[in-house]
Amino acid sequence: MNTQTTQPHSTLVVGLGNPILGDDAAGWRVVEGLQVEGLPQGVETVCLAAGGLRLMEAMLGYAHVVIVDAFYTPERPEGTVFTCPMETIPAPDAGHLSSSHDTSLPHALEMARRLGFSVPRRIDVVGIAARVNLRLSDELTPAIASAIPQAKETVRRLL
Amino acid sequence: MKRITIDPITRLEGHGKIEIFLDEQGEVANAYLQIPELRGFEQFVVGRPVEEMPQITNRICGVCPEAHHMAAAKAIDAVYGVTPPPAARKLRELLYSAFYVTDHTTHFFALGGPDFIMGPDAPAAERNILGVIHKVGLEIGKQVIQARKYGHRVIEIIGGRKIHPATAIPGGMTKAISEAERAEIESMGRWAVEFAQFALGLFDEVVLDNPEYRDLILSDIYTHRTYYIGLVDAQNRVNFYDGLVSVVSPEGKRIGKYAPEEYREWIAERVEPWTYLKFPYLKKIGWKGFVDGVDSGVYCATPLSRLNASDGMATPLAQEHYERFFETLGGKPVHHRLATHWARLIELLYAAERWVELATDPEITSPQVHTVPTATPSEGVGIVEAPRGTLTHHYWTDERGIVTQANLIVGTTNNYAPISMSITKAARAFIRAGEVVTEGLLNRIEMAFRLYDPCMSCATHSLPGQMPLEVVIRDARGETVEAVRQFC
Repeated sequence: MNTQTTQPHSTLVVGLGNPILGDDAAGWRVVEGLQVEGLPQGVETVCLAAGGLRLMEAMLGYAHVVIVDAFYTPERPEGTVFTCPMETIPAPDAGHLSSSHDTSLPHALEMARRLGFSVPRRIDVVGIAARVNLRLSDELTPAIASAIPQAKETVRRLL
Repeated sequence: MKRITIDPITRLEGHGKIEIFLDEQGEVANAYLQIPELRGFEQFVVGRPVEEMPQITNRICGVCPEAHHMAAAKAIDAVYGVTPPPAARKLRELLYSAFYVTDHTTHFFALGGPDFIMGPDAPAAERNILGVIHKVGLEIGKQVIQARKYGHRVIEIIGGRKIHPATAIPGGMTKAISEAERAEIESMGRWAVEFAQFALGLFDEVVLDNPEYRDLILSDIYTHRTYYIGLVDAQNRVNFYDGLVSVVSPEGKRIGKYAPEEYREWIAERVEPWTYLKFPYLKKIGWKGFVDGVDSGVYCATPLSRLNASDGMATPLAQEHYERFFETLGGKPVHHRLATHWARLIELLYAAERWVELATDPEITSPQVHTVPTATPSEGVGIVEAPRGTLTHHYWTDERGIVTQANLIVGTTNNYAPISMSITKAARAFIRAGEVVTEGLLNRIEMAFRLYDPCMSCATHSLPGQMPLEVVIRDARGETVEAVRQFC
């Protein structure tokens, strides 16, 4: 973990999710695909099943981070790929009854800023709309699998 | 860039729910926490080589992958009837001690501590880690991140990766550590011991020296006289990695200790018609409902439970705090659930001390870290203490080592009944004759389940990284009186 040193030209692409929870693995599949196809110099990748402080720690020292994750967004058809800046992600621990074990990513990032750590100047989120799933599986549903190429392309455009 | 509003639930695992049931008079009859559970575990693992289990099960949960990795590794040792060499056993426990330091630190400073440091009635928006660093100072935030960084580093050295370790295999570990790595681990461990003492000092200053908080801890609101379980070593001292599970009664009497393979003789699971959750209870005592007392088989498995179920801590500084804990709170066992936060910090100190002990063990750099399994695989149980409770993995295989059946009792599951009981008590204080005092209710319910440090399945690996919850209050006919939802 790099808490102090800035690598102003470096970029990290994070595949987020649980790789054995069906469509929740979408972020991993996108990043694994990009790793095989190759990325521009200075772009690093990581797949994580972690949030909050752990995710923040992984992002420190990079100038630009792209997070790829499956999202439950009922207003969007399954497999829709969308992008948004990190600032639009809500910080649920500003309210009641929201904690499981960690703090939220927005709060973790704010903490890192206040501590003077090298927080990315830009964080983009690439979302893939999916349905709620509680069943363990290492396969994506067809709708999500077919969205992976577009998601990869979306990540490339953001780099 | 176009601004897009995202539905607050951005994770795919559903969300937790608290249901509060009122009787005809509008008083609280019962309250339950419902946690979404991942399904299909057994179907997922049946047919796979059992050696894959430490890698698969550490993906179940984004909060304690190390606990699943270790329980799985121990279960596979048992499946193959193989004993890892001493250095392998010690490396596993060393990794696990460092993991405990990161996990307990995160809980206290990000979740449990803010209730006290900011105050139980502080606005929810302030009761978080940002509030803590604002009030206590930026240095505390840096120390928390440092503790986590060192923990991740040890896991990376021994486990091969910063999270989701990969090195425990049947019969031991895939790699030994070098002298340079050992020295680095020792130095980080010594820092962790100092940090743990600092955390306990802060708890003294903020909580124990405040008469209001002492009264809150000792009050009846979160007090339940249940049974307690926890792993202990041969001298009945707390151990996170190995030993027998000690079971003590609400009166503090040890009613027995069980080996991992005996867990089914001790633990049974109650099924209720209104939830898919199963409620574990002590088989020998029996299920009497969501009640405490010596006749009720409800037990608790938490840091507080581990202290109650043991005769002491195996390291000197933690032992001093253990003694002070029981002296201060009126002897063993302690039933005041809010004392769990204090117990967690004593465990933090123990984990840090154990980290140094193991890092300075002459055997720790031995290259002998693997015993080749030669027996035909069949069945095995592995138990470790996850930070949030006793974790049991049980696998059955065919003679080729292919999984034919699997059963897990995860840490939080042990505490489903006590968590529900604590929430019920908290709700009773704020719901009278059908009148709901919403603000106080939410704060106190939050404190009730927070102290157990429940793991909401895989809630933490997705954006924004937290578990939304809703509270539903139902009258005697089952109709919804009020639903309090936050980010749901």
